[in-house]
Amino acid sequence: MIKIENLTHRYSVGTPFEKVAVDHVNLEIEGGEIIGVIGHTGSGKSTLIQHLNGLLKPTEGKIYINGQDIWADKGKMRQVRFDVGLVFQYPEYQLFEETVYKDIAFGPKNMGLGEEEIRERVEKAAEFTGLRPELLEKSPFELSGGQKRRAAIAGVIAMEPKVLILDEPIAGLDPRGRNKILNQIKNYHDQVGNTILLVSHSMEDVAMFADKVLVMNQAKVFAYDTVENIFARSEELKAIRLSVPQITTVFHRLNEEGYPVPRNVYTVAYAKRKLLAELEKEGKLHA
Amino acid sequence: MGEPIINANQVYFDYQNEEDGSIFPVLKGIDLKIRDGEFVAVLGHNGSGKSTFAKHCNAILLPTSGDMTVAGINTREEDRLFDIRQNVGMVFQNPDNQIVATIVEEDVAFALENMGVEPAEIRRRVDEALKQVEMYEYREHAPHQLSGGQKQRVAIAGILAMRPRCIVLDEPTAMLDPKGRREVMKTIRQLNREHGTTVVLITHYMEEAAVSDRVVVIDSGEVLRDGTPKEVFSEVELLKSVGLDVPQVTEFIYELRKEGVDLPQDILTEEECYEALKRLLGRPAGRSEGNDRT
Repeated sequence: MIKIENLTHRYSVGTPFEKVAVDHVNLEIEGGEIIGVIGHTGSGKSTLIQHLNGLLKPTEGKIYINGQDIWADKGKMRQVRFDVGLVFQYPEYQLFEETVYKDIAFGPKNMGLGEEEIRERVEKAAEFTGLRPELLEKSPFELSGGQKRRAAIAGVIAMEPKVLILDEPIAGLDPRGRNKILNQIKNYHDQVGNTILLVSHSMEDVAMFADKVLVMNQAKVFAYDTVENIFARSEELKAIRLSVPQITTVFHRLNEEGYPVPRNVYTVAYAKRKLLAELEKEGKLHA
Repeated sequence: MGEPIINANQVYFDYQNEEDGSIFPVLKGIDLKIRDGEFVAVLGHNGSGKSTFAKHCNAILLPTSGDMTVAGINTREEDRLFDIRQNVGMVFQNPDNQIVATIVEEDVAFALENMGVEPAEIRRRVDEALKQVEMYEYREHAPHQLSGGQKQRVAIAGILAMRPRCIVLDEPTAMLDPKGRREVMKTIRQLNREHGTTVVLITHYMEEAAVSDRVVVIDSGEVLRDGTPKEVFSEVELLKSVGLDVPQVTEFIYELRKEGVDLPQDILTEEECYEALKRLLGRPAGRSEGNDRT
């Protein structure tokens, strides 16, 4: 689906502030999965994802989407932007139309779709993101913070991108708002089956919602693997100043001291299942 | 102990819709006393009224009815605004909106210059404040080249330079990565423990609230719970019902207790969880000593 070949990006080339933000990255991402992207600020993750729809041009290297080198033919860049949808951080600041409907319709309209098709897509995108139909005729500025964010995400979903990239979609929301949006994204993904890249600082959320994890560190890919394998390396993650879910830390410590618990634990539900099974085995469970 | 630094007495606050004049009540009779030296975390979902309350702490907003007393001064006393803001400083979510100068130390000096503090005294206070937040070596840097966590610490230094008795932080880590979050939390804890500054921390992160002395939960403009972290976080169902969370380890222990597993209900940290599970599981296999229990 996505192939990144020897990608390097330097900012401010030729100035004293020249900086390598992405350093010879090679990566192949299969289609149809949710990929959590983690890495601390300055690790290169934002620079990397902005290459995937051609917002940034590689200093070196190539990006292929579905086998197509996206910079090979500049005339095709428009199509790349439709195929790879990018939702920025705090996307609610980018709403600009008179009504929510028009805002969500903006992308599909640019794609040159007919009225009927546009209406269908807007309604579907609104449904995916949990926006009630009556909100569509309101001004985006009358919505609450969480609703605005959903409207902004709907605007990208309405283009039906093959790859959807969300840069910290839950930053600044309260726990209820976070869970709601993440569940909606997950449901959307289950129904559509496209590829989603989810940039997040929350390891707990990545553990809950992603199939695979891409860890960026110092402009390079530190690891790209299943959630299970990634969090099994908690010591290494901590060494590059990332955290792992609390529950993972606890189970690793117990495992290392010889207690009969697995290491690959990262969600409460799984931890509970494993621990109860162990207690049952030892006959320590008298419920 | 004396007079609390912040004393909310039946504070009500309504927002008025400018277009149709309709009234929306946000705070509905908040009673809260915060004493010198306390570290209080305030929790509540978006729209609960917690930020509105924070803005009452240094007279950015005034109660519609009831009284807010800060360092003994009623916030309605307009001519004492200066004293109020010198006693209680505020730090907001987005560091980029709080930094005004192009050099770190000039930014920290900004308020002091406006207050007419002597230059030599400004120098002393700026250096001290930057050292307190561990940003002294960056004093000549440009703020835009700093990370989010560093910028937020500069914003905190700008408040500290005014030497407030109390600092109110409204989701100071919401826009930061885990590292920035840790840096800012460390700074906040140090200020409280080592310098005795009163801290009111408004947050969505339960792990941050877990390290405070006292947790206040605000819901629908009222104080729903007020107690130690252990007391408040033991009410998992209640917190979830008002759109809040508990730390992951707390939730895990809660889930096990629901299944009848005998564990204490006041687990808040990884360390406590680890110790509790160790006790539960007994001695690990293969490492047991001669007199193994059966």
